[in-house]
Amino acid sequence: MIHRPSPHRRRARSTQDVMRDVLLALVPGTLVMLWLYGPGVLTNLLLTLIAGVATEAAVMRLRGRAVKPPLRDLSALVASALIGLSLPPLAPFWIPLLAGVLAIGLGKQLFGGLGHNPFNPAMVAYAVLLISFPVAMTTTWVSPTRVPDLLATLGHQFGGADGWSGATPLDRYKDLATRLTQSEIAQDPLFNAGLVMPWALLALAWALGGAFLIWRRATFWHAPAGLILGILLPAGVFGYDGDQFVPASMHLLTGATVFAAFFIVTDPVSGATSPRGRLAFGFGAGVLTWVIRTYGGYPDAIAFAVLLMNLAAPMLDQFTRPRVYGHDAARKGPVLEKRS
Amino acid sequence: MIHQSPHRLTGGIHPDERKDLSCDVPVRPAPMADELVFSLQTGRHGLEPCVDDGARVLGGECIARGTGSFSQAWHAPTSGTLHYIDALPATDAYGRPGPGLRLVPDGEDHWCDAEPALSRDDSRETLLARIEWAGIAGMGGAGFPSHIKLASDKPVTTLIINMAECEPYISCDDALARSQAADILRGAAWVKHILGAQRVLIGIEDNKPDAIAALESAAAANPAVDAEIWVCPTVYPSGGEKQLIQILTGEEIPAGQLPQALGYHMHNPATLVAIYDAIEHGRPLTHRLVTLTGEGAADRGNRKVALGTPLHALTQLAGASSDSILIMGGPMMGFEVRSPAAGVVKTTNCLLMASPNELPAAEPEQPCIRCGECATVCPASLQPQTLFWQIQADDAPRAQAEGLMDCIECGACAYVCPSQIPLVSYYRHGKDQLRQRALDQVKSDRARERFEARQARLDAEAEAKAAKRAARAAAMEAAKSGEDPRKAEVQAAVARARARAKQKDTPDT
Repeated sequence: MIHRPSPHRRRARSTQDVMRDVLLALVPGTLVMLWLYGPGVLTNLLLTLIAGVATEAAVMRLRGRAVKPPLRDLSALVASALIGLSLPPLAPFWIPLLAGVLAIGLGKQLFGGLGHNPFNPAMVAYAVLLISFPVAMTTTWVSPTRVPDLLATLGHQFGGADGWSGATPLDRYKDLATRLTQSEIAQDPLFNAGLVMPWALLALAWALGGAFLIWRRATFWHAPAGLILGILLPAGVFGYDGDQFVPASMHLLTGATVFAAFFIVTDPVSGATSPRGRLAFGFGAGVLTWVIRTYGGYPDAIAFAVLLMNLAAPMLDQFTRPRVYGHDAARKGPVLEKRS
Repeated sequence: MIHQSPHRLTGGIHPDERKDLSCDVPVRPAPMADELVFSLQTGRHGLEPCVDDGARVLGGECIARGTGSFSQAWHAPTSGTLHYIDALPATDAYGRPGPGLRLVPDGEDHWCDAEPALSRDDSRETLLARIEWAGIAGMGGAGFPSHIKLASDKPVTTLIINMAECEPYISCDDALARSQAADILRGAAWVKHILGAQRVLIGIEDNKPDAIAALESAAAANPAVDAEIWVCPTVYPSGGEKQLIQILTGEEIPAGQLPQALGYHMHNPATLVAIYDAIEHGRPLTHRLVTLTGEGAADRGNRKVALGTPLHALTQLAGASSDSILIMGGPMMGFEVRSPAAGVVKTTNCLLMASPNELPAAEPEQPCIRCGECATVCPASLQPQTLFWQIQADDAPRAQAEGLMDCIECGACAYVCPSQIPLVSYYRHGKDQLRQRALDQVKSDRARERFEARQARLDAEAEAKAAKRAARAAAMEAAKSGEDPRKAEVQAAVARARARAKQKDTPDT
């Protein structure tokens, strides 16, 4: 029995440190969201965090495990924050509460907790909510040109008040493109400040956080690059026709593209693990996002694209193994050796 | 001639080097300990003593010899009285007690006469026999007997001297090169001669400028060796045999093969000095340089230590604090010493006396989050996370198919793992399982063969019996039917002979 196995030295960088970096990287984007969409962003975030952490603690208790270690690694906070920031800012209060419970309970703990979930917990929650409550999830967005104050926000979230909410720019453009040309669409009140302008600022803020993560080596560049390439490639090819298709710039800068690039497809647990696998994972999610955005009925498609690619991640890993030292070629495909 | 190596290893990490703790102090001899202990468990087949219990021995006298072909003799590092002892802990990660020898020095340090110096005219066999006699084993870590390594019959083009010393803290090869660079090259000249190699490369990390300078001037003074010094960037584990060859030549050793397959032969500089001593001075291997280092030690530095010196004598010498963690080797691949009563062996390159803060105990293992950090540092381009899952799922054969046996256990993956998973332990466990499976396979093959042979023998016996019975019945039949009884007897005899012949034909085991 060896008490202290080698190596005896370790780099002082724990899972907790990685998660803390992710939370820090979310700050600039969250601030810009607050400015764009009003206080609903914060109430969403608060409610999902409470629900998510409570669910994590409750499930750990139910499973008869220690409650503290999983809370200390901050992974529940990260998953809850990611889904909280994906929700429409004027969604009724039970949507963020449900989102936290779904992300942690259904997305993560049902499979055995940290490290065992095959799907991205935040995207599981998003997809379930979008399919179950399409109206509450699609019509409660805010136009950055008309930001509600705290009172109006709370009225929306906890009461039945209305008057501020609307669709996302991608949804709106797609809807208008069925009958108008690009120049006419630009006249829509939602696009007062330009087709991409206010949202581009948000994309920039997410990119700032992403750059921080890559600089801290908390994540790798492969998956974000893959996703952006996967969206821009088809969007660039078809986007020349702005009268029928959403232009590439809107695909990139509005919607959740940049947010997903740095915070969703970079989820290590449910993604591919080899560098080329991560690139393929991101690219696949990007192409699927464009396809579903363009031909599907939902305003955004990241969640479905990511969940589909989560299914493919183990296979991607098996086909993107690097060549091992001293071997002639990389081993491709699943290993089907006889089990013991 | 100094070259910059144009190739890089895959992956790798940059742990704190901490070589400054020990490398600035000049090499000092360690005072002779009160007693020296030599484990007889060393080597592949164990050793047996070749002097009597209680005998007086002289320095340089052989006290134990290997029992198999992988022999590694022990020689007394000084004169004194020799005793047989039991329950001497082995100098390894387990410290299992076993038979050993204890030498109590008499303080007079009388030495027996040295063997005559050998020359270039002596045959290869004579030179190898001398190296075997001297008990020289690879002093870099593996401890493989040098005479067996050098007896390889594959053609060798290049001798590589592994001066990389990439483990943090260790500086004994650095100190050796600074104090005995000329001897390293003399040893290299002998090995080059024995192997018939054309080139001599010295691979050294760029964090040892003094050693590089010393080797350069020694190489200039010994032009016959024609040694090329290749400097490579400091990155762990550049000193791995496969890795250093990759760095110096850009070639990779084919999986499952030795460097000889490509015509390379790698040796540690201390081994070369020992070979030079054995051949030119007729002296066996009795001392080596040991780095005494770590924040737990007060008096750090490189010491020339007699083999067999108990480790507690060294910790005392270095003034180690009582709470320090004792590790033999470096912090990446060394092992925690279980019993400080064990003695210094030929592979003891470093004794790390770490303060508890310096090498904190492992944190509790957390779930793998598949971050893939380990895959980016693996020098063998493995996917450590995949191997880990498979071994955790008790599926070592699948891990083998993914390259488990290509793992060199350098520990780079575990070093970067944010979940504090002791990955190397998992890989060792998986490799053990594979070894066990192979053994079980051999055993069951043998059992099946035995069973099948027995079955064949029983079948043949039964058949022979049946034939005999048939013959007898035929004879009876003939007798009954009133034929000539003698004729029937003859018939029966023929049938019996046939049955016997048939029985002889079947394998009898």
